[in-house]
Amino acid sequence: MSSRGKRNINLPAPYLKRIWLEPTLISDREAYPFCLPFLHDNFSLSFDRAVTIIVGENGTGKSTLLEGIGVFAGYDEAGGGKGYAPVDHSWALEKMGGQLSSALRASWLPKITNGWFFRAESFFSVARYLDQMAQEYPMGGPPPPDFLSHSHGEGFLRFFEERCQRQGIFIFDEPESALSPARQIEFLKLMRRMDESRHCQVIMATHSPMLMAYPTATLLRLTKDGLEPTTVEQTDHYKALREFIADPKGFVEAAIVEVDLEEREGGA
Amino acid sequence: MGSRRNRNINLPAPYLKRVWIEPTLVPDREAYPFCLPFLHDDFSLSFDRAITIIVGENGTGKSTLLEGLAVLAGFDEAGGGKGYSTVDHSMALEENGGELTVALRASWVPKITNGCFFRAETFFSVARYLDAVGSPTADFLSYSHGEGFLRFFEERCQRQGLFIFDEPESALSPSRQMEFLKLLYRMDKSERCQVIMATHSPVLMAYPNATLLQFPKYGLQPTTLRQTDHYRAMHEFFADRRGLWKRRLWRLTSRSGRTALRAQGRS
Repeated sequence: MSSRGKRNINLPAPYLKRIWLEPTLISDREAYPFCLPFLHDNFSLSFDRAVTIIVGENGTGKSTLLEGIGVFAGYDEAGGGKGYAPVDHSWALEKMGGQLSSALRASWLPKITNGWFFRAESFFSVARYLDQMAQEYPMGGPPPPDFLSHSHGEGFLRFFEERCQRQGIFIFDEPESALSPARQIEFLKLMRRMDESRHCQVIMATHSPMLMAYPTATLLRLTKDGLEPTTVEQTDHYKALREFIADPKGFVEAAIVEVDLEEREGGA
Repeated sequence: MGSRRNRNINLPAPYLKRVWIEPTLVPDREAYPFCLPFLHDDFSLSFDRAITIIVGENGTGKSTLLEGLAVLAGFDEAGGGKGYSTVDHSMALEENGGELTVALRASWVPKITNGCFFRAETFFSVARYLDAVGSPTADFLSYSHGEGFLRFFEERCQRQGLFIFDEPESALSPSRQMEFLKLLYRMDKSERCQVIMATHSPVLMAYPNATLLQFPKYGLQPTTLRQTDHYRAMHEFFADRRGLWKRRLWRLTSRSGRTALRAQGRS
């Protein structure tokens, strides 16, 4: 391939090939995050495709892992990049990613530091920012007639597209927050474009079956024992929502009837 | 029914019966929020059940309306209640709900001021707080994790009052959403909680005894779960995922990418 003259590296993503725990560097095995069950001495995670998706219940340490990788790549732990301020920077939990990275080792090919780390809260901020822009445009006048139409979702996509065009490593933590199903499809298009560019590596944690099902990704499930390959059909989220879609009324009633049963037992 | 000797009112929810725009009180028709298409002179919204669910894309003014209702009821616009601090109180947008109320009128039977306004970010903070508290030692993969979440809201939603939820599904896995449905049901059964909720989640929209309203450009119209874009998109995904990729994603894809996709689909 001919050189493109830019500083860009002509190797395709993924650039971050593997991360692993270096047990000798752990400061305190009893303290968070090293007490997380999946962070045993043999913890290792390989990235063999441009898009890696991590699923798992809250509390397993998914976000901490992403934060650790984000800090490793040189981003602000609370989610970062130019042009917006991270929300709620005060959470102590966010510092855990930084601590984790102190005992992580990584192999890169090559090492890159471009990219972006989007926390779930970033998506709220962006959605709200775009709502606000739509309202304020043009300069105090009425909103443009089409601002409620498809173009709004398009604006959302464009916001991320502008930030995800460059070569780099992009980390998304629960991007489905504040995304309607229609916007999730927009988000899938963004992932497709990044994937096709071959110079973006994406690492994403999600609860959304729609996003998990992205076709050419490696899907990993985080459990107590570590990360294991899985399929979207095997995830609890997929199973629950498929059941719901097949019979919405029955699904909801099954949840609600438990309340009556509990009350009857409590009253008896 | 015998009197319960409390200050509690013995009338069942809903207490907020109707809100409407009083056009003579609109300060500036060109300025936000009154430039929102749904806030035309005839805007009126009636609440005939204890639970009202509002569906619609972001940017339609859903959150502004909920904020307006919260201010009307006397809550803090940024989401309020005891025991937690609001996230991101600085955004100018949040003041628009307050601006809306200058031209809103409401009828209550009776007027109540108890209740709470939960923003999407609140649910997030709570989920994260519980994760942080539960992480090191608790059995966080078990059912008890979701239980803690439910209990947090139950404690705050027991009293008689008006409860406003803006996108509670944020940070809620499907199993937590089922917990949340149970909470709605308990509030509904108590007959003294009025709930007004905006959501993107088809699971929450499916709550059986609610009035479901669609937020399009020009006002709130009754709808059914199956008519919503949200349900349809999810249905399309589960019914025909391959077709969905083909229609929505493949169009973007080059030939080499398509070959890779096909290989992926086969495996």
